Amino acid sequence: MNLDIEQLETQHPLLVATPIRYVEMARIALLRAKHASPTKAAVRCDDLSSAVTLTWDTSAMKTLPQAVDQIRVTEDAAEAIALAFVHTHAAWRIDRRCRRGEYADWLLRSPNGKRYAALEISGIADESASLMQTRLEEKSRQVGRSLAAPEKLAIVVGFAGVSIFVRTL
Amino acid sequence: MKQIGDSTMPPELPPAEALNALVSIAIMRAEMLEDAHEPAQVGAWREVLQLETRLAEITSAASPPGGVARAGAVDAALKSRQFERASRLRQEYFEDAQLPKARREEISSMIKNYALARERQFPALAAKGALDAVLSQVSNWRAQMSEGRGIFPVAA
Repeated sequence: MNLDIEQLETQHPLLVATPIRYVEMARIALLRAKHASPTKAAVRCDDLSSAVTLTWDTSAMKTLPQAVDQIRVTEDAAEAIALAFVHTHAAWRIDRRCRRGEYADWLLRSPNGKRYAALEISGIADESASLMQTRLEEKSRQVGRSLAAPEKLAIVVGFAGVSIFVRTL
Repeated sequence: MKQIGDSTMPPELPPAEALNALVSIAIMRAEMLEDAHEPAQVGAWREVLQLETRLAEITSAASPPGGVARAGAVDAALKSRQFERASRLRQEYFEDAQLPKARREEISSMIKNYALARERQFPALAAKGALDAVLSQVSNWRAQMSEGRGIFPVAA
């Protein structure tokens, strides 16, 4: 499976209007971790392990910008990759952003518009498998409290090796 | 940072999706201002309130987006310091039998916690039973000032 980060705003048209440039943040985070397109990303979705290929336009960013909030980059880039994953994997789209009190970042809608899922995302710049697992547990507990939708999803993205951990609730 | 009204705004979105896009932008902006402790966050939450109440009007209380919009409207009313509006919205939303129990509890809890925090902040006014009247006057004054066209607030 190929995750083309450049397709993000086509997959989720709502992102075009948001004040955050998610695609650019993903390019920065991947360049910062010294990855080049294409890059293999390890995926652990519940108990299943697989891999995806991440692609992005490397010509759009060849040097790292100096004045960026590194934590913000990690979080926003994780959102970009997680959102590309949910669309590429299951064709789900963003319905809307959730406020912090919802215990989820986004409300997602299924392709037929009949199902909704609450999605909580986190990013780790320099991950280990145990750190990924711990963060996934935290985020699963968090989104588990959400009233936004009956189905819930936690995704953690690590950038050092590029890994995507997914938990469905 | 992209601007609202950019030529990059998707022009083809239907009304509900356009509102979803607008409320998403408004929430991001309000939370950014909140993180920066900017006074402008109050106005930003007022904008979220307007959009959430419009979304609540076009969604079922039983649906996930309907619940998110209704809880979001009450939360935004409180964050934009409109306690009475939040209480009225709760009353309005609770009249809808389709609103799930968990959402009712969440909305009630938001209002209760806000009221308790306010009483702790202004204990003397709370003891006199004058909290609602005084804060309502302050809120009205703030709204009038923010609607003024001048650069500087008008002296009382």
